[in-house]
Amino acid sequence: MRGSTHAFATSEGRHTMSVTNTEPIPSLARRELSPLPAQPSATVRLLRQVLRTRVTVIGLAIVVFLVILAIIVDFLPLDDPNVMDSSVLRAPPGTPGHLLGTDAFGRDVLSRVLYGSRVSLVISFAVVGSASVIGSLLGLLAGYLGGAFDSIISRIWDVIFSFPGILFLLVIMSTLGAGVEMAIVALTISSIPIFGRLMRERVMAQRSRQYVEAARCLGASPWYIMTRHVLPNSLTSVLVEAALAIPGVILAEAALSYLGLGVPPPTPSWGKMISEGQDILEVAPWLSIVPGFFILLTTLGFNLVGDGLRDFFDPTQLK
Amino acid sequence: MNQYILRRLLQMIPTVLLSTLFVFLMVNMVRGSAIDIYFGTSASRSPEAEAALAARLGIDKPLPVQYLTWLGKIMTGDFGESWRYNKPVLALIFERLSLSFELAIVASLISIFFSTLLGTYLALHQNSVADQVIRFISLIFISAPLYWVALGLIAFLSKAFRWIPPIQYVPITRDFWTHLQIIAIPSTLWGILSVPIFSRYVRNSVLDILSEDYVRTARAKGLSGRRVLFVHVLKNAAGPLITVVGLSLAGAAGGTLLMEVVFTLPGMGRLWLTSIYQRDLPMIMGISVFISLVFVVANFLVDLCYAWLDPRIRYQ
Repeated sequence: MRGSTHAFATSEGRHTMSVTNTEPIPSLARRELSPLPAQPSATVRLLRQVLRTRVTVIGLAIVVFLVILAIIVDFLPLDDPNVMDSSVLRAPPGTPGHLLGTDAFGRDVLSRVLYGSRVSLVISFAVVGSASVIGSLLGLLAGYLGGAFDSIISRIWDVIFSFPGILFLLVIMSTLGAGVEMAIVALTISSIPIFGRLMRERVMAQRSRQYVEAARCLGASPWYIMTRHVLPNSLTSVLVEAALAIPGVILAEAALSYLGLGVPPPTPSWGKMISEGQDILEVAPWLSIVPGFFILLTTLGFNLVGDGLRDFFDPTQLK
Repeated sequence: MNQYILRRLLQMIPTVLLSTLFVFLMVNMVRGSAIDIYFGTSASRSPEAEAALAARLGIDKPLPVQYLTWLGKIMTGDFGESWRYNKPVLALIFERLSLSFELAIVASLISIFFSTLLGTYLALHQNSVADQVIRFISLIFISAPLYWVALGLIAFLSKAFRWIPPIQYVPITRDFWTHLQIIAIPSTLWGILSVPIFSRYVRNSVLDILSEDYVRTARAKGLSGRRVLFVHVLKNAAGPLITVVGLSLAGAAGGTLLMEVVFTLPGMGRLWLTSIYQRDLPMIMGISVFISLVFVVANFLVDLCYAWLDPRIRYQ
């Protein structure tokens, strides 16, 4: 059975390849039609492929670097992120002993930013991890059971999607109250439908595939087919979606903390640091600039990795 | 079309019911302490006052009864009364609504206009330098916290031009020009910041249509590139463009909230945040339900536009 799924996957891969190879005919036709677009030449395509992988490698390097930093931050020669030193209030970056300066309470910004990265990464991994598992299972069940269960679940997802972005988080946070655990719960609930819909779609698409029919002919139970065939075949999509969901969760958590609804002080958190620096933006701009830059770097890294993964696993999306 | 509108209206009912139920249940998970939240550390707390409050809020009744009573009141436009302002919730919402709407709509108009323009240009110049640059910028903008970018802009404006956001908010009815000054920067900023992201959508949907057979036919008939673009391509790209409108409105709603905080504007987002900080339960419930209603209606309108542009959708 496993062999048959593999054969199917490769034949599908070859199919997409052949589509790209037969491109010259439409592209020739289109070139006549300037100003309508021309297909890139082979050199440009090759160059882009190399650049794309290189960009993915850069993203991966950023992510690995930040993760390692977040793990070993305890062993780095840094000040305690919560110790206030009244002799160096708002020291600018480059002050000896305080590479990125200090905040309004004399706390070391570099130390706070690095500890903040740990908070941010732990929250986003926890959220994406639990949301992808719960969402995939619900999606699998919805696609597999269909009927009333499917329509109820779909309605619930509609409700979650009817509040755009951060507004849904606010609805949950406003009732649960601020805090790290609450933020994780809220972010997880809002991320579940992303994975649920994806998985349901995958189940629907694969139900009528030949290898599923073959398995059914051999007498496999629907549940066996779902867990042994459809689920493994959908894992790469879930993985790609998870990689792409992480930056969104990091940004959402930062926004919640920025609004004072996420990580409570004095725990260092990027969003909170931006809002703390906001009041003295003119005097000490680095207090807001530094944590924001770290958010940008982290989410950029994850976005690059996610894009790379998607291109690798699903070349049909290439444009 | 009428039949489609009716069907779509009927579909809205379960969504609205579910979202009200959701808000109600979420609030009631913490409702056990509603009396504590109401009184806080106030000295007026006494067993009699507690009983009176419980009776007034109706929390002495079973949950389903409470939900239906509350739902019935909302249907008649009674969103309850704020605990902190002692005014009807709906009146407070309407006081703040116009500013948020104004910000969101100006921001979306700006982003829709420029992303359509830029997206079409990029589709016609696929894989050009501009295409790559915009791709890179949109990646940065997706990755950056946009309130942070806004703060950076304020810092820059105050350093370079000695301009700081006006401290006092002025409504449009009192002084149009001062009001415009206050609105212009946050809404333009939010609109422009979303252009690189949305222009990618426009680019991809225009590209899809450029590769359609009828475009080639139109070219083969000898029509000029411009005529093909405006008559055949853009008209058929209008459907996907509606998606961009929906997305940018949704984005503007979240963005407006953050812009209100960054620029300290008294919009609905700030009202919501304050009521969260103050644990003003009727206000929280009212605003949550109100916002979900707004978005259910907005989605409905977007779907109607789709159906109007593409008759196939009406008969699905």
